[in-house]
Amino acid sequence: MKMHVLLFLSIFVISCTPTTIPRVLDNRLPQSISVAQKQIVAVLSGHQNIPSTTLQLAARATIEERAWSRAYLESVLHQIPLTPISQSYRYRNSNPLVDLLVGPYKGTNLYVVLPATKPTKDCIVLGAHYDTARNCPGANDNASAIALLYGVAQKLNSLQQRSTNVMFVFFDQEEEELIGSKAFVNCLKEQHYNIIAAHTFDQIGWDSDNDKAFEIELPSPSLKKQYVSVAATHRVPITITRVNSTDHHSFREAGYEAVGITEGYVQGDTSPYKDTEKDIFETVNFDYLTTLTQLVYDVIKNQIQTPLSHEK
Amino acid sequence: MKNKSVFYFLILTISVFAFVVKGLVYASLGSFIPLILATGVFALFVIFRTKPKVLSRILFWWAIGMILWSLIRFLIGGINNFVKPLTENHLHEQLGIQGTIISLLFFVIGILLLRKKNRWHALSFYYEKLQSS
Ligand SMILES: [Zn+2]
Repeated sequence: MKMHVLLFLSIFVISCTPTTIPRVLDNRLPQSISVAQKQIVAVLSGHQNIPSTTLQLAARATIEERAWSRAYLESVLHQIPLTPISQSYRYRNSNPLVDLLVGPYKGTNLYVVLPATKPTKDCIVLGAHYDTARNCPGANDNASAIALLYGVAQKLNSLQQRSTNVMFVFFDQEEEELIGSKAFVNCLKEQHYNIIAAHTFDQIGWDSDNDKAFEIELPSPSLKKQYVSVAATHRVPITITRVNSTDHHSFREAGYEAVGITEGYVQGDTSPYKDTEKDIFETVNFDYLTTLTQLVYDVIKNQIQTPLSHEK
Repeated sequence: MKNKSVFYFLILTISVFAFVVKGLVYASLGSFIPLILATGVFALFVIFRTKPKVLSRILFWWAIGMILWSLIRFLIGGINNFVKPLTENHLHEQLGIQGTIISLLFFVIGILLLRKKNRWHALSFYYEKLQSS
C-alpha cells in the first residue's frame, strides 16, 4: 500500500506547481524615443529593475524570466498606446525521438497591430525575438532590436496616414531553433491579413567603428531595393548577406517575402559577447540604435505610403 | 494478492495511457510517431490478452522500455546539471526537478512492472477472473 501513496503523492506534486502571471503596474517611459529605448534595453538586460518591482532580469531564458519580460513588454506597448495580444503555442521537437522523451516546446509570442488609417487587409510584419540564451542578459541580442521596434512603432503611430497595417511581434524561443517565429507564422496563416513582407531584427546595438554600417539578410529584390535606397539617403554602408539563422527564415520558409536586419554580423563588426553573460547594457551603442531606428522607420514609412500589395 | 494485482494493472494503465496522451498531444502538433508507438503497444496488449506467455513478454519489454526511457532522461538531465549545461533551455526546463520526479516515477513503474513475481501474480489473477466470468 505504501507504494500507492508514494505514486499518487508524486503525481499530486507534479500537477500542483503554482503558476503566477506577472504584471508590471506602473511603467512610464520618457517622451524622448531614444531615452525610452535606453530604458527598455536597461530593463530587459537587468541593468535596471523592472518598473514597480525590485526584480532584475538576469536573462530572458527561463519560463519565469520570459514571463516577466513579456509583462514588461506589454507595459511598453501600452505606452504607445497599443493593445498587445499574447499568442501561446506548443510546438513539436525537431526530432520525433525527442518527442518521445520530453514534452513539446511551450512559449508565448507577443504582438500588436498598428492599424492602417483606412480599411485594408494589407499588413507588414516587423519582428524581433525577446528571449536570450541561458544566463545571458541579452542587451544586444536582442533587447536592442526590441527597442528599435518600440521607436519605429512610436514614429509610425504619429503618422497621419497609413495605408497598411503594421504588425509588431516579439518572438519567444528564437534561441531554440526559431520556434517562436515558426509558431507565429502558423498563427499568421489563420488570420485575415494579406502579408506584404516580414522584416525581422536581431542584434542592432554594436558598431565599434561608428560607421553605422548594417547588413540585410536574404532580402527579396523589392525589399533589397528599398533598404539600399534608404541607406543611400542616410549615407550608411549596407551589405547584403545570406545569413538565415534567425527569425526571417521562418517567414521565407512559409512563402512570405522577408528580410533580416542586423549589425555588421558577417563583416565582423558584431558583438563578441553574443550568448554570454557579458552581453550587457554598457556594450550597446545607442547612437547606432538611433540611426537604425530612423532608417528602418523611413523604409517602412515609404512602404506604407506607397503600398506594394501583391497581386494574387 | 488481489490488491497487488489490482495495483499492477493500475500502474500498467497509467504508464500506457500517459504515452497515449503524449501521443495525442504530439499528433495535434503534427508529430505522429509517439501516438503510433503508444497505440501500437496498447493494441498488442489487447490482441494478445488471452495468451499469457506472449502477454508476459510484452509486459517485460514495455517495462524495459519504461526503464530505458527514464534512464535516458536521467542521463541527459545529469549531463545538463553536473557535466555540461545544454544550450537547449527547453530540455533544461523539462529535465529539472519536476522532470526528474516524472522520470523517477516511471523508473519505479518500470521496475514494478518488470518483476517476474509481480507479472505472474497479476497475470494469474487476471486469468482467474477471465475464466470465472
Ligand atoms: Zn538573436
